[in-house]
Amino acid sequence: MHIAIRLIAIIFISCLSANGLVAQQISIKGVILDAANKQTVIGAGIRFLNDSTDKTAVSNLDGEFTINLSVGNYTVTTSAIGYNTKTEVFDFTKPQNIEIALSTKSIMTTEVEIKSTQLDENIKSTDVGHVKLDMQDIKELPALMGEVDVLKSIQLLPGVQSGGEGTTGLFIRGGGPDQNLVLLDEAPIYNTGHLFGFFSVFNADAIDRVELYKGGIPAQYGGRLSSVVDFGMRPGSKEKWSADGGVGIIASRLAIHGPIVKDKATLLLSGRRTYIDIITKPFLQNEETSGIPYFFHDFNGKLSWKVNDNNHIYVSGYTGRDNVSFLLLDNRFKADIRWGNDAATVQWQHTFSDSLFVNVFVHTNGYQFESNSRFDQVQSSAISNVSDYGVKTKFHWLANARHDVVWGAEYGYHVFTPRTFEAKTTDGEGVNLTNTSPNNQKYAQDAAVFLHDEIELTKRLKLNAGLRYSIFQQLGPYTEFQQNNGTIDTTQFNRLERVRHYGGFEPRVFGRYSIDSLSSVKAAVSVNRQYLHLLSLSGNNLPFDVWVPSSALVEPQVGIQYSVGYFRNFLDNKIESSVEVYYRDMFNQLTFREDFVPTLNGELEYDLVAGTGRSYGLELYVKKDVGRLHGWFGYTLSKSERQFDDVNGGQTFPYRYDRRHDLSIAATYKYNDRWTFGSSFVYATGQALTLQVSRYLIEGSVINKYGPRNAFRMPAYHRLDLSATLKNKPRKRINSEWVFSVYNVYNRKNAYIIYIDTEGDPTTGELKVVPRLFYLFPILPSITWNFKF
Amino acid sequence: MKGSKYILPILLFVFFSCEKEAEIDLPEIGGDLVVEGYIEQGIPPIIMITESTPFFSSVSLEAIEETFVHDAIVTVDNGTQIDTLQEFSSDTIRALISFIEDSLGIDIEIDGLDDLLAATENITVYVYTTPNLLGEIEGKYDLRIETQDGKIATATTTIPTPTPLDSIWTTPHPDPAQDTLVLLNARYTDVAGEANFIRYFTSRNREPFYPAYFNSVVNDNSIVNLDGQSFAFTMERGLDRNNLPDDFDDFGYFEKGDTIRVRWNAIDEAHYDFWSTLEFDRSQTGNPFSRPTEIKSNINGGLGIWGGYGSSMLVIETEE
Repeated sequence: MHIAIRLIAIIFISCLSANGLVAQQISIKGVILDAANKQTVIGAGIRFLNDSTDKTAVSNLDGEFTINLSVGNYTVTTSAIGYNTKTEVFDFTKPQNIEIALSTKSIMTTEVEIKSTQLDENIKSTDVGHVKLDMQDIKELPALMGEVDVLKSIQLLPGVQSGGEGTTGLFIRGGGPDQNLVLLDEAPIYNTGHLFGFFSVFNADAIDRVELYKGGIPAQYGGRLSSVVDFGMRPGSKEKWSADGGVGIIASRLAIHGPIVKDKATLLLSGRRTYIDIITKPFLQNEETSGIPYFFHDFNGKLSWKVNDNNHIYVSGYTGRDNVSFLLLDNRFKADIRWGNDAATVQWQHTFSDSLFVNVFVHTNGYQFESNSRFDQVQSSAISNVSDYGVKTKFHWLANARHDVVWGAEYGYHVFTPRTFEAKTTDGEGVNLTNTSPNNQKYAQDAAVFLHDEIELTKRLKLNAGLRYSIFQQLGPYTEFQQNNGTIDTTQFNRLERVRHYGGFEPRVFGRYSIDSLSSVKAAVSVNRQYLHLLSLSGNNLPFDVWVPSSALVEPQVGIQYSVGYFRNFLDNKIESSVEVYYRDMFNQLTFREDFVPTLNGELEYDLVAGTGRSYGLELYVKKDVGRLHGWFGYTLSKSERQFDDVNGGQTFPYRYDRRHDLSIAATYKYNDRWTFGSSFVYATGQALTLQVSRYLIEGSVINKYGPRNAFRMPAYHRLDLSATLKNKPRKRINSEWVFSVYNVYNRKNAYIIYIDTEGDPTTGELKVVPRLFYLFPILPSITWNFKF
Repeated sequence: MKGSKYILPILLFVFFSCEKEAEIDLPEIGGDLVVEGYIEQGIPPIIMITESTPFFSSVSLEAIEETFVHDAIVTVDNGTQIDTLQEFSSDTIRALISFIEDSLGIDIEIDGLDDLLAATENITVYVYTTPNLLGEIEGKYDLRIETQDGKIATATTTIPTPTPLDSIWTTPHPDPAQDTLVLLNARYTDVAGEANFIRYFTSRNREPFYPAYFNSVVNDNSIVNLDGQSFAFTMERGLDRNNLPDDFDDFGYFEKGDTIRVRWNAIDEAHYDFWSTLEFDRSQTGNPFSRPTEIKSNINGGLGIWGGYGSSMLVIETEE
């Protein structure tokens, strides 16, 4: 930690001296547009280069930028993910507005225009473990049942494991599912999956930017140990009202967007709903459940308002729900279950000058699970939810082309209702069970200040250092119970009274050293603290898992990660590659006691035990982003372990998602203007699991004894998916395409779960012990029609 | 959370899920000493001692018979006397009963003895017992077992003061079509200020007592804090796990005309923990989302249970 603090001090001193006086300048404003649909392009880098100047601007959420330059001739190179890099020459004599139109990454070789010097971000940046994904590439990869899924594309990256067949869970560098900060326009999303994680809550039509940090997390992000997945919602088109969407086998999507005040404000509204329930209803009339009683839906909306040149306001929102509703046993059993996320963000972006901006975010978000059921006369309901209210301020100062500073602060207030339960009989006669725990709700607040500084010290050496100080406080009302010589002492905390205080520094330092123009070495070390914990009752990542805060009963998680990588580009920067090794220690990891029996009352935290985790690995990544063939190859060799004094006899055991080998290949190939083909292949070591090793009889029936924790493995997982996209010839104003997709092409029966079943009767005959493999998806073709007008 | 139990299987099965047998290599681990012993007020200790067997070893009656541990030195200490138990086989169970009757000068009438003997006619069961020591309310009993091959297991249990039910009664089956079946209800007033643990059994007519199929144990803090409360609840009928009814429609119900007996046994916390973890683990069998649960045994040096029962009983005769 001390090293980091010293480094920051050095960087600060150097930055003060680096920001010298500038000659008389003119202000150049511009906008970056998609040449095809005139939509703005966010996050494009615009580099202004001449003999005396080398400055770079970045387009904001409206695709705009402002930069101050000396009068003169400039070579302006604009690059953005998913677009061809464009180089133009401008002669700036007075302040002016310019427009730069980029063509979507062209695949036809004659159109390819590559400036090798602009494609060297892989080796020039200090980014370690940072990946930006191209939404266009994601959309062209095969998808389960045709539903384009950003999270599943992230799973194809090295160092990222899925939680099992078809699920959107992310397990990054040996970390747990709760260790990823998933943000949608700065609002955290607690449960990223629909239908037990088979589909992600992120409708690809409503997203235009996704970035993954699996190491080297900038200081502006905090609160999770493993990673940050940052989603940006897509703003509406500035040019004209238009609609796009798709019709697939399980869901349809529609987004409409356009200007509501010309050059001032745009709006995007996007929705998605599955319709298995509606489609199957006529065919399953005679079944008790009359169809598949399930659907999910998502709505996204974003309003962008340009108040004036220096002030922008963005309002975005998301809501999604999974819904299950059914009657069974001649209407004796009825259940309605709903769960999902909500998020809303207001962002104010203010430009002080061409080099200093501030963003203020105010957000509220939450996850809700609600179940209501009736069995004969007994009615029961259960609720689990978490709600956040937060504000964040982030300043960004582009001191010069070689020096970039970000700082700010954030505050959040959290309300947790891990679970409440109520059961009563309708006639009022029977037992009336209400969870009367005084601590059904828990309250907390957190705050952090952060500073991040990136500076190119020499041509070869670039440093990126950040410091974050975070605090987390559990607040009242809360009733604390403490064992004291056999008696239980009770302490009552009032509303907003501090129950516990946790906090600490979270320093990080990343560096890049260029070996030559085509290769570099990067290293990173970071400390992260996590104050929220996901408790999984089922062992799988399911909607009934509950979030709890650090509190009087649970201490925060702490992680320290070290990584080193060698980055090398080939073939004139057309191919990027890297080899990274990482090592991470994780403290205060939680799991349930071995003899834990779930009950409906009390605080689950009493049934937890704490231990440590350790993971390390090697990641190999080769990526090609230009030409007809796009794609990447990722391989991870890794190990992840846990140790708890009270679990597995205190012996270290493999983490459930420990994968020795994990291989992913993703590729898209543009055959011609109409046909694009995509494929992906994954191979992963089987998931670790705990199985029965011996048995005995109690009261004449068989009881099993489990072997060491996670000592067994499922069979290896592998799967090939293919897709083909056919662009139809435009008709009138409608552009449309067909996407044909085949999931699990060679019909591999991948184990989703392995369990052991016993059948028969030991006293009258043979007892059969049968290990069963439960697989979900056989070969699954699908077809989707997408349109745009 | 009753709903969550149902939606997972439903959703998974209506989707594309399929099963097939899996091939997994498991080590052959067995040989743990397994104790199943009970003591109740007015009844001598009865203890079965077996060994665990590897998970995939063949399961046959002969194999089960071979798991019994013979000639162990088994003692029970009630604080004032230490008694050594003798081994008997089920072949000699009638001889065993008359042995106990003669020794104690009492008549023992075991409900459903003929059923019990019929159920075990294909297998010989071995138990250790003694006529010289009977369970007493609030008694504490130390068990020690030493086998011929030198394995030692010890355990301690208590017989808590019985906490009887207030009353039991029946109500009609919720489905009017099932007019031959009735539901058993009970009212219980919990003893305030102490932790109470219960294991209950039911019997109909002259059948043996069986524990409830899913949950045979209750505590006054298990669902919500019930300490000191008086409350009514429904009771499922205990079932013979090795002879389950084919038709689950009448599962848990009694028939009109049945004579119903309920044994409501106070047990100590360790005894409760054993059944609660065992029944939870058993409920997970066949559940693909199961989480391994360690069955919490009170046997040092082995598996299983040494449990005391402070029993109380209620009987009702239902109308035809």
